[in-house]
Amino acid sequence: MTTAPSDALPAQAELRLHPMSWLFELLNVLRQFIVPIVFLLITGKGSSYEFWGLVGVGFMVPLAIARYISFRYRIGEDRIVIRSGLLHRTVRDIAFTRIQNVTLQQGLLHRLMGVAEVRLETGGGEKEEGRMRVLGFEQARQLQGIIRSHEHGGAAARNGSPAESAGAETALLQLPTKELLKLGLISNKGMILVAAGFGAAMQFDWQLPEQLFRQAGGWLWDHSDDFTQHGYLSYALGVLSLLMAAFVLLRIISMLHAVLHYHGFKLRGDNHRLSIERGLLNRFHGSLPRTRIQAWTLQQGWLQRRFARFQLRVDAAGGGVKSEHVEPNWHLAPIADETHIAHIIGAVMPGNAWPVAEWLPLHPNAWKREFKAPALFLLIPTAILVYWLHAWGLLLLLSHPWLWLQSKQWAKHAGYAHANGLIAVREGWIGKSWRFAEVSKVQAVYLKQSPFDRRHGMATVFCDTVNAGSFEPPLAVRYLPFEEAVSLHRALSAAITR
Amino acid sequence: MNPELNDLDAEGWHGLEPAAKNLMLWFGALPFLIPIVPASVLPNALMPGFWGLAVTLPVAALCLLLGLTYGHNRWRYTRWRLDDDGFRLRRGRWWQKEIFVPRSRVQHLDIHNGPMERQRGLATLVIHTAGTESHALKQQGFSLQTATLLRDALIPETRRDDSAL
Repeated sequence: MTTAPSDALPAQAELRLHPMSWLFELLNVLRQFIVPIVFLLITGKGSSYEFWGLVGVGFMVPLAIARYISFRYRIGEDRIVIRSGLLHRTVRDIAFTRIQNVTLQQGLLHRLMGVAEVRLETGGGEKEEGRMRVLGFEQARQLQGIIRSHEHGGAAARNGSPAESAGAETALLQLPTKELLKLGLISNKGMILVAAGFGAAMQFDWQLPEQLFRQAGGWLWDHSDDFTQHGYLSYALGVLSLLMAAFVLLRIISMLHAVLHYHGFKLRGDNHRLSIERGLLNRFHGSLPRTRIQAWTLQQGWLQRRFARFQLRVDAAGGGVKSEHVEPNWHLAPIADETHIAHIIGAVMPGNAWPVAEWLPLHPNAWKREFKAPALFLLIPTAILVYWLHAWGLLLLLSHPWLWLQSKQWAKHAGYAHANGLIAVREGWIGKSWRFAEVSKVQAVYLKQSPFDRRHGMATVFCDTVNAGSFEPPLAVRYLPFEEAVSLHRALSAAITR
Repeated sequence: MNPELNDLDAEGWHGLEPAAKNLMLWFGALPFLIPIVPASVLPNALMPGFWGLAVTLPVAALCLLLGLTYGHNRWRYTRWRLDDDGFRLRRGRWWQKEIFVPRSRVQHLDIHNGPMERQRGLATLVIHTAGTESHALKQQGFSLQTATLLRDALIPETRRDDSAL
């Protein structure tokens, strides 16, 4: 093993974590208390007994130090052995080849002290196999390098440098601040963050939203005389500008979040893996072996289309997917244009599978299916409104022409493709989405026919993949002509057995 | 009449064990019978006598009819086929589907049989794949012999390699 910088990380020797580890161990425990404490200090609510909990913290300092002292690890030829625990000792032996992913995570404090938290993720289970809180950044980087060089049986690593076995790293995507601002403008993250903040505040003070609402409402009520003096128009204008201000504020929060979260975003790839770096305060270095990439989702909303941008993410198989800091699906490109997207996909998939050369249409009557269900369903609220408001309730039926237009347009854009070892589905009109996967990643093929399908002579073909996110569009071709669905099902079945 | 999925190439497909018919009928019907409980309590409490029963009885009859139809269809319309390349399963009368799991994608297989199944010599086969929806395909109504046969036939000869992931 020529690659290990032996002076820094001598093989077989037992190593300890960074000397400041106890601090991060402590902070991790305290993190759960910090928000309530700060909140209590700010609002001045709550009684003194809540501060007695802080006494417990005093006991945690020696515990954290003990944890630091008891934690040892050893880097062997082909494995890492982690010993931990004070009273209940565990020895964990992880072979390098089993480690699927090594991530380094750095918060602000980590960066100030030049340390990083290392997570070793293996294939199975929901939690990562090994967690080292914390290592010196250089040491962490070296560990990452050693483990990566052992990938693919380690044969290449023993014969040459990791650079040779993995091939040269090429940059696939970098996001300058301008792009990040665009990303913030497009995303609704601000709204989500504010809602989450509200939710958190409500845990401590469930009357808060009511009070805020009352105060705001009361203020508007008190000043309504002033407003109405100047006429209803200015009153309406006032409310409108207030809404506008809220909207702008939310977008600014979104932009801030995008810059914080994705600052210095770099996506790079070599022969075996993709690696991502991002974050302004919290720095994230993660990597994803290419073989773990399952199905892909490409999306473009209305605003994104104005900017000619897309969002690309993938489902990843196996370990650590559900661990707290790592996103459930990997955002390979939070924002990127068409050429970059094609470049990223092309770097992972063999052949010229993407962009798809020819999209095949669905059943000519597919739009009817898309139109009928919501159209019929809307008759229920219409009936209720007619009972309640009489003829005015019929106004709701005005939505039907829109539904009709929408389903027509939807069907025009919908399509599927099965070529070059790729199965792909596209749907959507105002917001479009593409879902695709290499056929070799498909685990099972379904052919489905509902009574409605049968009436129209249609069927659905669905491809099941590993770890398909529940919020991702399904990899399903709906509303296919029956014969075509059967032959697609047969073709896919034959392709995945190969 | 439009083509039905279940009518496709009917040869080579096997049905489930006749011994499983009654078991699947009643277990399939069971969830449909639950609404009978509120339907017999509520109307009779609100309007005792004739009108209460006038609600309860039709609801109960409808639930029973739906349940038995579903339970029967579950047995009658489930068919399976073992090919060289994998396992095919057809299910359903109204919502029909055909599932294909290639041999190379089978992770492992389980055979369950509870006391009621054991009594009749039946077994439930569970096929596990790495997929999301198909991570555990469960099918009851096999004889223990068939289930064991299928299990042995579906385990790939060479140990599964991780290339499927």
